[in-house]
Amino acid sequence: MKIPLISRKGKLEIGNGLLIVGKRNTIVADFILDTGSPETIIPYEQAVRLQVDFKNLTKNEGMTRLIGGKFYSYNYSKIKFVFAQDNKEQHKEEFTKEFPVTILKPTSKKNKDKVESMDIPIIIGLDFLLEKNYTLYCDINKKETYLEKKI
Amino acid sequence: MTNIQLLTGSIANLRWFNESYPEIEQKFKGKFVAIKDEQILENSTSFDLLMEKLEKKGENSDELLIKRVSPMNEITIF
Repeated sequence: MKIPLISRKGKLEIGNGLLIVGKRNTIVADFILDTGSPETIIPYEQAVRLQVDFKNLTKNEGMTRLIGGKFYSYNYSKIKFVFAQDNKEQHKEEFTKEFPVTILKPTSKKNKDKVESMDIPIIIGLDFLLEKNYTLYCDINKKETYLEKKI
Repeated sequence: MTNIQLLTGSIANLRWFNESYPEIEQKFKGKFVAIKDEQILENSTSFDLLMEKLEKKGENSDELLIKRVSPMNEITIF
């Protein structure tokens, strides 16, 4: 099973779109693959679209810094990612309590405005590749980049 | 709309966005855009304002591809 990626402006983006199935709704989104990120991250704007109820979430200790912004982080497990494979069929990956996604929320309005202009995408981190057993194939020169999972 | 329909639509919209980027950048540089049926449905300088505009239009923003149009020479390193 292969999920194609495309290289655009130096970033590896999913080539075939992505859906996030939340507790309340399903949203269309896109993501980048970042092997430098230890965690899979959903930015605040997308969490708002997913109607995540922050009041019922426990804030993780400490703060997270990303491209100059400060964020509170929350673990969240009530979602699934839906990818389109190279044959256009859908493939779902579920986040569980044992393997939650991280939601980042700016620590202040000032921070929110600052990071909003940077348009933080959904970031697929190394944890996702490890936990879900994906292999990353990447030959930028040949334009062959994809995630592969043996099913 | 089913997941397959949403995915198919998002594939088309993403492809259109990437292919049309030079023209989109000229018109909407620095703005957030909502894409539907391979067209810019709405735009705004902020994400929150864009959501408000879509709500006023009665659009279901869940099904739209939301992107910020960053200038071609702007690179963000995460």
